[in-house]
Amino acid sequence: MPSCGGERDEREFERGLVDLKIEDASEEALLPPLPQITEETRPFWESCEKGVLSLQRCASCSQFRFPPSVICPNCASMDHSWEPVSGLGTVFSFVTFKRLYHKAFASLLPYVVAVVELSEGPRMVSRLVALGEDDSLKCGAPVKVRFERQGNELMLPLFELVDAK
Amino acid sequence: MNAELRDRYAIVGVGQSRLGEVPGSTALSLMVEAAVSAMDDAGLEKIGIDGIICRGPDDMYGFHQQVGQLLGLDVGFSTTLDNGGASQILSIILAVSAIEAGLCNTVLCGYARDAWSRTHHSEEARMSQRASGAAQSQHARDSYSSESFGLFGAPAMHAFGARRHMDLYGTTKDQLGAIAIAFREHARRNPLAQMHARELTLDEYRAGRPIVEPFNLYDCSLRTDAAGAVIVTSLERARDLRKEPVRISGFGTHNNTSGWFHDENMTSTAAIQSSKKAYSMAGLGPSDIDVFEVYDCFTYMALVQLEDYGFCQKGEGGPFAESGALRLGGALPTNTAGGQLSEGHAEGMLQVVEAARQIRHDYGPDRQVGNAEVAVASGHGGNTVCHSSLILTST
Repeated sequence: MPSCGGERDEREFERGLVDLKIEDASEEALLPPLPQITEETRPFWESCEKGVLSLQRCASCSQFRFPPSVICPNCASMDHSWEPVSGLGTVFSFVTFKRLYHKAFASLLPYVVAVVELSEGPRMVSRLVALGEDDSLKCGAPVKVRFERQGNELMLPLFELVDAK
Repeated sequence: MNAELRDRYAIVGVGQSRLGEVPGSTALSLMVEAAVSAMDDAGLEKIGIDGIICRGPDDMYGFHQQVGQLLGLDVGFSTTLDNGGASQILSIILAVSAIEAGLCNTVLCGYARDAWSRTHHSEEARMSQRASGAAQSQHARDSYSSESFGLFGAPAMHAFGARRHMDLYGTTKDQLGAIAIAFREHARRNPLAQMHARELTLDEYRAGRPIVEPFNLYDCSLRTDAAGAVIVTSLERARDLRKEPVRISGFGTHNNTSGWFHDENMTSTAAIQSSKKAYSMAGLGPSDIDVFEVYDCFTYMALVQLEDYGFCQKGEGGPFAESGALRLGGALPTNTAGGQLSEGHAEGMLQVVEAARQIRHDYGPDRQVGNAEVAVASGHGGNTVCHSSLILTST
């Protein structure tokens, strides 16, 4: 369960002890933490391998859902199919990481993580890429999915602005 | 709803441990310190306690058992709660419920953490704590790994709410700063506060080190060693004890279990439903509140609760905070001991302690809210999806 706990220690920050050492990040093949693939999530990641974003769709009420689950949160049906979706959506909200929590992201700092609201309804966390120097990002900005392989591992569904150059 | 319980129970003692950086302390030792201080305050021997509802660090199993063992107590009812920062007010609600059910008579409610000490006894401990903190950020570990996308930590999760509030309502960084500064000014009057010695100006706030924008260092609560405790019993029993009882007039809870990312939960929080229940039970409304002790894990979370508790309209939390309303002497003195941003982060327990002290008029004129007869304390957890509210009044 994510916490609402205190995160701050001013003296630590002042001493610079909190952040991981940036030079460590140049080590090769640093991957972000990758998802544990479960029987529920396997179809999602297999579809990503093909460069297609797919979501579960309830066989009873037709609602798309995410994250993957055995039960429809709308109508409690346990019947579903996996269907490709448009990969289009809008930014529901976003944050810009200025502090490093994991070495794999050192070369990306500052980077933007967004809650993307897909056109089909569900919201998913992803990272926004190819933002360039433009800092005018706002909630509501249209985005589209863009797959990027992590090392030799799986394909992650990242997002870029629809009007990105 | 539960209005028949209004004013039938009371907080009869409050206490706290040493606070801030307490090298070598443990959550258990701090909890005992706070418990003894609350019992002394009430004029109660430990033998008078027959219920324990405590919470410690989330990685400690059966915290209440260990507290009872250290205090040498057998009790009629005890448990540890698991609703994050909503647990502390929930412990008081549960205490009332357990007494009402005849399971016990007088309950020790407490919370303790050793967040500073456990990250400072070695570099290894620091990194391990960091990793476990990062692991907590996963929205749903078994189904989808948010960490794969670089989402780590509580600040980022709450910053999503702040960003959306800014875009929907025009809330500004300086308005978040007004909250940090108001609470810091209160901490400057509280000699026990972790940030007692440090002034915070708007310029310093603006220059704060960025963490996860829109949050910088000063938008985030502190890493604190601290414990707080209160003792709850029936108003009848309370009359035999040392201190003027503080009446428990209203309480409420609500949990947006659908999640932080669902609906508009990040800009209209579960505090809306929770506070409504508390107001309804107490027969009071926002205009009756003299003191607000708000759960401020981040500046934005205090701001949105100003709206959700009805002190101002939705979207107006920024201007309300910037108006100076939250300062001692303002329209709604808030976090009068400094809050989690500046007094110390004890998951909302110190909010309850301070609310009771204000109602008892424990302080001199520099810290006392002159007309304090009704105080509200709030708590939320699980990344602000579950919420609890408490209304205390003077007898």
